[in-house]
Amino acid sequence: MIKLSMKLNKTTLELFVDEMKPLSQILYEDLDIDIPIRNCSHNYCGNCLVILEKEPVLSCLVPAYKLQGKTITTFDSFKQSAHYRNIRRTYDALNCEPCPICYEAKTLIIESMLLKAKTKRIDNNIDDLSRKFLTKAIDDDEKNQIDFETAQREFSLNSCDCLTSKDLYNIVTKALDDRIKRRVL
Amino acid sequence: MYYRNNKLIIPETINELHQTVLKNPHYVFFAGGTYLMKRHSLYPSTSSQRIISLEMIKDLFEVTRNLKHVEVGSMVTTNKLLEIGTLAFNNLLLDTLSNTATHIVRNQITIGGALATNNIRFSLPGTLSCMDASVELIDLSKTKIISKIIPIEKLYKNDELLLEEGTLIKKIIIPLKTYNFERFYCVGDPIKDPTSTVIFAFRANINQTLLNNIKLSITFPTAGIHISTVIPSELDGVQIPIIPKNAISISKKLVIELEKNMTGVTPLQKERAKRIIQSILYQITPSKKFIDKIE
Ligand SMILES: Cc1cc2nc3c(=O)[nH]c(=O)nc-3n(C[C@H](O)[C@H](O)[C@H](O)COP(=O)(O)OP(=O)(O)OC[C@H]3O[C@@H](n4cnc5c(N)ncnc54)[C@H](O)[C@@H]3O)c2cc1C
Ligand code: FES
Repeated sequence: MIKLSMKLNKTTLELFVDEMKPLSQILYEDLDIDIPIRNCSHNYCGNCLVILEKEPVLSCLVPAYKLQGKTITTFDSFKQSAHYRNIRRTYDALNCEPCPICYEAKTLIIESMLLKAKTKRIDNNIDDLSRKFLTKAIDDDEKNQIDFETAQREFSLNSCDCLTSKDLYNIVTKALDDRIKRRVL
Repeated sequence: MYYRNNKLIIPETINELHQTVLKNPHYVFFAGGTYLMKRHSLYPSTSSQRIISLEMIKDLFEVTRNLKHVEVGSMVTTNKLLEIGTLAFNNLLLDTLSNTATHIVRNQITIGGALATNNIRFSLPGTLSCMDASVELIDLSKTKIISKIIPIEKLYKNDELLLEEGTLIKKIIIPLKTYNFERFYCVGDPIKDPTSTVIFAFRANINQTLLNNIKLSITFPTAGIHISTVIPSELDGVQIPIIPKNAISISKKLVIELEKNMTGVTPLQKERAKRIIQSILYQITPSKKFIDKIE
């Protein structure tokens, strides 16, 4: 057992857990947080995504000891962010969204693709002014950074096929457009 | 060195790792954990097996490059290798990396872990064999650390991983050679449907209307890797383009070779292998320079 200290949705927590206990199990057994993973049984359903230090991860693949001092954001907390509002707006605009079973996972996969598209060019350490300048400069070709095949592959992480690859691709490219237009960094 | 407790050990140097291995006969190396977290009974665990995490050993994250090859530490992730790769590697490796899992999982998959899964073979070993890459292994089970470099394919025999207890993959050495015809195909899903998946890595040089420097590795996740001897001998020096009749005959010879040398390859995998090699052979056309010349 280890004494684990981590930040969950802005709250600092300390708990005693087995060092190899997966984060997914810590969330629902120790912290009573509902994540839809019950049917997975070693099949990589891709439903257990959470954000670990800004990057989406499959929480069933992360053991407790790797969480020491880290920040975890669950979907409920992510919902308060401008990034989520950007994706939600896109669902509404296209009148198309994932089913309730995979809504969280697919939304986080979209977030991971958008993050990758943006961070590819914008270094996190630059000041705000240069950041704005740079964002403007890359606006035009940014849209082409996510191709259909890559998107299809990324969505294969989640086994639910409630939406077609084309619908999902449209969501990603539209959300990226919206993110660039509104400067959601 | 961090001892979280007796179960988890996190050494910071190769020397500390060596001491740890000598003192703890029953252990497992933990790299990215994408394989171990699902397949091993690490949690809840009733065994006395220790977990040795490799994540703090700086040497295992190093990447160095000279004119001939790139050396990549075994703890480098597949995403990181992909980032470095766009500057240095050939398309065969880049295609393999970008076809491995998804961005989210690639952040976690390490090169060492991708080579050392013990009862299933994924795509990286086949591609690295096709590129004539080698691995540096260090034997930590004796009082003196012994290091050796071997070609990647020597790590496996059919479906078996030949990595001895106490041996660590330290780094991978990848030649910076490119070929003007390279193809990577993964048909099926190696994780969800391993017994029907076929993974091809093929390279050759097209020299005007002749082929040479040919190498083909075929991976069947549950049956292992096969380096074809038939394909290079059939294609070496052959005139291209290859006519359909010859392509069909070569593909049949490949199936016979697989039947002779591999056990556990399913009929669907054989059929897929036949189709993939035919498709590759149809794509081999004379080099553009040559076509321009005769036009
Ligand atoms: C959702 C998902 C999708 C995937 N899709 C694909 C795919 O499309 N294609 C594909 O090829 N693979 C795929 N994989 C498999 C993936 O490649 C393996 O899980 C991965 O290679 C394991 O790497 P790791 O760093 O996580 O290793 P770990 O899980 O940490 O370890 C794997 C094994 O290697 C041993 N090991 C690790 N490092 C070393 C070392 N340096 N020296 C000696 N032994 C070592 C460990 O002891 C263990 O036995 C997928 C995995 C997941 C989770
Ligand atoms: S619980 Fe299904 S992939 Fe994590």
